[in-house]
Amino acid sequence: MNLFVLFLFCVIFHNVISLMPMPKAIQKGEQVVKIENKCSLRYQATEDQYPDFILELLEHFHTLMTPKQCNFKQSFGFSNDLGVMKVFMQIESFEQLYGVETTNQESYRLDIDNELNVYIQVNNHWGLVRALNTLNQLSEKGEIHDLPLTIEDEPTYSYRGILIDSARHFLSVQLIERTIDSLVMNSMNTVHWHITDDESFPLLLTEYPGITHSTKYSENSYYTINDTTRIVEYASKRGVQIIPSFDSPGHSMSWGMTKELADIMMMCGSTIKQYGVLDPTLEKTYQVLESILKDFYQMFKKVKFVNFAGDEVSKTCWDQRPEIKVFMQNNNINDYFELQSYYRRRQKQLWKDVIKAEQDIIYLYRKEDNLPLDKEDIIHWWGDTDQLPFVADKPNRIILMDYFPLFIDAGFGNAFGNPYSVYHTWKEIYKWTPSLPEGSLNTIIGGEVPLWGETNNQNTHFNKLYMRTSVIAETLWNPKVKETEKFASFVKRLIQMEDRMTKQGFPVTPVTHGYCRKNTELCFPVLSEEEQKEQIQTE
Amino acid sequence: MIFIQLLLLAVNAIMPIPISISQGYQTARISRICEVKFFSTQEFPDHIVKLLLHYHELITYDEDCDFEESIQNTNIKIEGALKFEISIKNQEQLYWVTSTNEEAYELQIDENLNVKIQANNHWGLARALDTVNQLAINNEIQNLPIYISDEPQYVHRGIMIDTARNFLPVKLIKRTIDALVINKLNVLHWHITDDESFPLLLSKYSQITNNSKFWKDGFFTKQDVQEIIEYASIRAVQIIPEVDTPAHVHSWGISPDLQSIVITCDTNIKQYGQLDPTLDQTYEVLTSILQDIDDMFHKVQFIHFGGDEASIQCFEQKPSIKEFMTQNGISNYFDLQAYYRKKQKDIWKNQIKSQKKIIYWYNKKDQLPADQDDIIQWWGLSSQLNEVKGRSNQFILSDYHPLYLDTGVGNAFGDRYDKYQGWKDVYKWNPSIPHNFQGTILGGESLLWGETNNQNTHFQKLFLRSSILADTLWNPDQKQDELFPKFAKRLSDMEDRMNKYDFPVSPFTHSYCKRQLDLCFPESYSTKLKLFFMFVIVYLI
Repeated sequence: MNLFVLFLFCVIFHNVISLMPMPKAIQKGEQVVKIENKCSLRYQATEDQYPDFILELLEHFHTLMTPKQCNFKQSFGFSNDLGVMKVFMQIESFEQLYGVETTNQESYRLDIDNELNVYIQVNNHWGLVRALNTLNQLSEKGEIHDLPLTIEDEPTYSYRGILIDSARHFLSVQLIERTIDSLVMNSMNTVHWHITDDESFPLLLTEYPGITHSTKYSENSYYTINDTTRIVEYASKRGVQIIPSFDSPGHSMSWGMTKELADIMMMCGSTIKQYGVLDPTLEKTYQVLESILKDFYQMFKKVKFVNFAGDEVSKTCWDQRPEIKVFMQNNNINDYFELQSYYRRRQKQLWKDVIKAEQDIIYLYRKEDNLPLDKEDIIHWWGDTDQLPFVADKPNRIILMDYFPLFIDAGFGNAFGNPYSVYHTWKEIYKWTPSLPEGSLNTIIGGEVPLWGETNNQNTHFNKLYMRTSVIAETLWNPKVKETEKFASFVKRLIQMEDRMTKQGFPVTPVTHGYCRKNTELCFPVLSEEEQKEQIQTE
Repeated sequence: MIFIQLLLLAVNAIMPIPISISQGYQTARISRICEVKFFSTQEFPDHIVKLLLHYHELITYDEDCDFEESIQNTNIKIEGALKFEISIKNQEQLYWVTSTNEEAYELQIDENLNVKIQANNHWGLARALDTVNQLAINNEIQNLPIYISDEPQYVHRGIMIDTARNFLPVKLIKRTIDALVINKLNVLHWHITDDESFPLLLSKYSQITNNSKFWKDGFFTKQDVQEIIEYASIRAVQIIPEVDTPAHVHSWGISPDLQSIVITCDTNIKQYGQLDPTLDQTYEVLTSILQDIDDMFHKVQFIHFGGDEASIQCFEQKPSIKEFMTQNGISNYFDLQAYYRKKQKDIWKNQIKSQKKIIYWYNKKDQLPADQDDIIQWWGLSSQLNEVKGRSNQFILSDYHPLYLDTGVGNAFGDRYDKYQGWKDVYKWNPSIPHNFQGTILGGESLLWGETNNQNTHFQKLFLRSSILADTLWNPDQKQDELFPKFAKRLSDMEDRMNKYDFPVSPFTHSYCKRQLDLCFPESYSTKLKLFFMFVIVYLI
């Protein structure tokens, strides 16, 4: 018997589980079992049992968990080899999901016994992704501790995402797919894809390709329907939803760069920053919008939500055109606030009634964007936390993207080389927990960290995203863990996550320096100076 | 106004911009990029052949292009190929230069792509080759015939890297040197050791290295060091090693036998170590370490002894120090540190007999005496340079704002740490001295401290901000005359160049502004132009 079993009595080793995000419930034993075989993963099933999208998921984790020479095809079939993980999967539904609306869709139960039999029970392939990710983290050192082990897990929020911005800098399909891979490792499930903005519209339109071509940054810097379909599929198979976003009626300068469309857009702005706002009084605006929405619908048919943004509509911009005032008088529109509501209503009508799309709509909100909402609309909050009372009376679902500390693009200067806000550190993000003011009628469905693209491209992408995104991933999965966990233990787990991501080739920002990596207890005794003082006083 | 426009039209997008260019109107295609030829009446020594190989790779940008064939002893005429005719006065291999004219070069390119380079030595040749590489973009050279006569304004143009907080592998250091070369920067100041680790393998006290290293092979051997110095020298970059004392030495005292020489003083989380300057053992260890440094870095010009942030409270922890001071007539901690510094220098100059000049950190608080031949590296605020204006030393400027490239992204503990210095802040900075300044400015360095930097963030923190500093230190007068969008254009080309050579630099703006430089970076930022307008306005009134 070549099985190497160690009985451990040491307390330090007893706490060895270093998962991130931390599961909700863990029951553990005391044994350590070494995974002897290099090709350590055996799916206890036959390939034909599973639909292709699940096979692709299984292959994804097979690639992550075993060396290159291990053949995925040979990872199927029953085995009693004691030196490999034998994975039994019980999957309730084989329906391919492109999004989830309840947290229990991602729940899983994972049992590992002393013979390395691994039992996974899930509702669907999204739960399977989370379970396999936990298994990957448990086994990464070539042995599994605390056996027999049972983990029952489910996220607290169903929307756990990042925002990427392909309008300020084009992001290649390959980079977006890599980004999805990085989310999977963190049990995150959403890419909010801010595709278009003032600066460019890198989505190839059918009826108005001029919009795309007149604003793209290089010959092939735009996405075709093949690209979007590929990305949506790639994400779905890995338990990630894509939320496509195109912003209007503000942030739409790119719509009006061709002669034929110049009239639907008003250009305004300071001497250096140019903004575009759509003219909501022209029928032509809605013709273009309808066509774009149709394309959008076709390109993202399978997604669960769309984000129509609707932020930062400049009122002074509308002042530029006297005809707008006339239109408002003729149509009983009292102010620009109502004018914007008018636009939003017509946009929604096109989406729901003309195109007959079923996806609910997410809108960006902060104090200044306080437009009326229908009950199925979702608020995407990007204001300051203390201004949340401004939307508290709305009984809507809400996604939190509090300006502080969740804007991870801030602090590096803006596109013009001038200062722009401050950098939000991983510790500031750690201190943040989703919360609503007392009496708020909102329902939190999750949160998001936005990486706006003004000063971000493929070179800076992963190290602006991480490790801060890993911190938010844990908060959105299991916000309670930090209430009881020692700060140093958290940092230790975060550093292990850093190693994991570096090992997979993601160039992430280091949490700290080499000395503090080795001395986490010393460098990270308690969360903050205030708490430190309190602790000293109580001692 | 028209005059200024014309002036700018004539300027090539070279960075740093040469001192003097005269040029024609012809464009020549480089149809046979692979067939670069280097011709000289002299036989090239090995280090020059290696430099040519480096630029051969950069210029051809094609692994299949064969370097073997490219060195010729007769001047062959191949149409559509770059044909270099190189003459160098001094073939000796240099590890540093001491005057700006050692990096001067003259460059002539005619319509037939005959490239004539005249330089004093291989450092000047490196600068000339870089200019040619920048001119030869998209397989053509414009504005031919072109004649460039060039020389940097400052002899010391560098960056500092820190291998004590996060270890940086040799390969990354070499890549950093490659990045410096295409910016005509010539100094790599290597902050090797600190409180957190001492990743230099010592001969007698190897336990210092082994106890503080971050992982098994996370240290530099003598061979690594010499490889780096050689690699740098070939590419015309000097290495300046730094071993910081008497503070920043927590790493020295981790093993039991050396605990006594280091006083550990700390806040709750940050561990500091300071040498006990009253013990003989301290100087025994110091002598051995300095001897190792001199052996390992035999070929470099300067040694950096740090000398910053020695804390009084730390010395106060040990009563025996007070006693020693009383017995030896040392009246305060300031004098104590001066005493240490004197002994350290005595070891360096008289025992080890090293000729290398010493650099020390100075800011407002570091008011220790300096000998005439000491070099002061200024890390205080620009506005506080006054404090040292009476010193007639040579100075290297690393003004805290804006030349600290590590700030603004949090410290090692995840807390906020100052603010990020934008590229425009670096652009606005010029070496400037207070009235009655007695010293001489050798140049400047941007500093990348390593608390939150590793190979993943390295190049994007360094660049493009260091490219801007490179421009300023080579030709500070340029931006007085240059319109801001023209500068932005040069910066944008530098970004593309660095991306082409696979350096993951931070973008300086978004892609829309890259295409609309005139719109996003309007001319009003040019200081000279503002003065010009003011002058016109005053004149009109």
